[in-house]
Amino acid sequence: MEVVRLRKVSKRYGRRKILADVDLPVNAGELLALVGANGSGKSTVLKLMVGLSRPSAGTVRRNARVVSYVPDVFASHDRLSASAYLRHMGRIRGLSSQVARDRAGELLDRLALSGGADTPMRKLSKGNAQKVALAQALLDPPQLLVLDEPWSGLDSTAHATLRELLTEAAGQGAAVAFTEHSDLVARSTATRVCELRDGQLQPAGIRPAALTEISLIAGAEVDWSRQPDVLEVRRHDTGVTLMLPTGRHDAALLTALNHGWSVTTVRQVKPE
Amino acid sequence: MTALYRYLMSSVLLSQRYLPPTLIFLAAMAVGTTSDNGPLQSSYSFCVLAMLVCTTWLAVSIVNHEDPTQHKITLVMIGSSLRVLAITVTIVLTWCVPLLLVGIVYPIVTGKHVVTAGDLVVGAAAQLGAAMIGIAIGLLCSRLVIPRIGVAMLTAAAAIIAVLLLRWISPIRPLMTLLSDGRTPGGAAVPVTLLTAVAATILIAAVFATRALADRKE
Repeated sequence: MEVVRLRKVSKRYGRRKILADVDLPVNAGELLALVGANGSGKSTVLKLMVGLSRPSAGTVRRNARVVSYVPDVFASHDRLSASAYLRHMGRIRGLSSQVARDRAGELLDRLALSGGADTPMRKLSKGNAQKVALAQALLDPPQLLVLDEPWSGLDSTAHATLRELLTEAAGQGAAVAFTEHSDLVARSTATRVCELRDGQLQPAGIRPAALTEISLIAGAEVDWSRQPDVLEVRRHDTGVTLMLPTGRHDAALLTALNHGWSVTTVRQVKPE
Repeated sequence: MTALYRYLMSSVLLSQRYLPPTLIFLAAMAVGTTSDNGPLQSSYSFCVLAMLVCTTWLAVSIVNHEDPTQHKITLVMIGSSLRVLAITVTIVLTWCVPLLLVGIVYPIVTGKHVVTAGDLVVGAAAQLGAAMIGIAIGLLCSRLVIPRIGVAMLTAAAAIIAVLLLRWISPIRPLMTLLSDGRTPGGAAVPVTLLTAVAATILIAAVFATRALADRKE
């Protein structure tokens, strides 16, 4: 089922043409990634999808009652605490106070909001504010979930959680669309990747990037979730299994060996 | 709609942005109406002026309070910019209620006046009309329409001066004239009510204009 469809959409700001003849359907259960250079029109496509912007030409048709949006930068100056803010957002969504509180607590726990849910919004760091923005979007299971660079500012532990949350939302039937600068992150999460170039859509199809799985036996203390390029950390009794982009795993191997870890397997995997 | 009202109201309450215009209104009352022993309606004429200035400031403060990124989230949640704007105006009107009460009661308490029910009704209607014109100016000078705060302040100041000096561009000047020309409350009631109705119409028009201008930018 098509949840949102852009048909022959063009967008101009004054004389500047941002988008030209964009034709883009997003179906229920689909995870669509929009990639492209700065200023290629990715955020404009998202704004058109949720109704924050209107097309200069063409049509946007939405078939969703619950629409959620996560902006690229979320810097609230509110004195409300994160939990009070999410409770209000839940009520606006039509949830009862109790359900909103429970759901907010559950989401903030999963996203590991540091400082606690009672921290005033204006005192949250960029990454933590981004976590609250993600939580508000998922309070009521959305039918259309649109996120503008959701990985920006998040620590690598939250990267894996965000990937899980997006996959779960799509699994529950939501159409999920997000922008991302990193082609690799986009391909490891999305079921379809489209590239915007000079305001025109270049379908990149489903072309998952190769990943490398490294299994390690524990040595000295290393916070693998904070290591560069580590996409996923799975802990087990004797050590951890890491997932990294193929070709970017040498630094992790070196860190492991330098800290006394033993490498048991290194294998290339292709995401489904 | 109630949930959005509660959220915006809590957020505004905690922000304390309503304090400067409220304190200025109280100070204006103290300076302009304390120990006044003329006709009560003349004191209310001054309250109309103070109400106009303070509600413009209050409206700008409250509309600008919501962070632009949060405003986008709210718009997507509610799905209608007109509904969000209507709730925001309701919040500003709610804050005007205590100002209105002060504007009615303070001149009576601190001055020496002959008070009739007619005076109170006429004074309340006139100040409500001024509040609605102030909110209309505030909306059109808010970040939704004029993103640069300096330009917005100058525009608001120019708009306030214009409605005070030019007789027929808003009900403010006719309201002040009616209150200060020594009419009986019975004689002033009908024109004041009509002018307040005109102010309400101007406010509704300002809401639609603000919505159209804010949406056009996207």
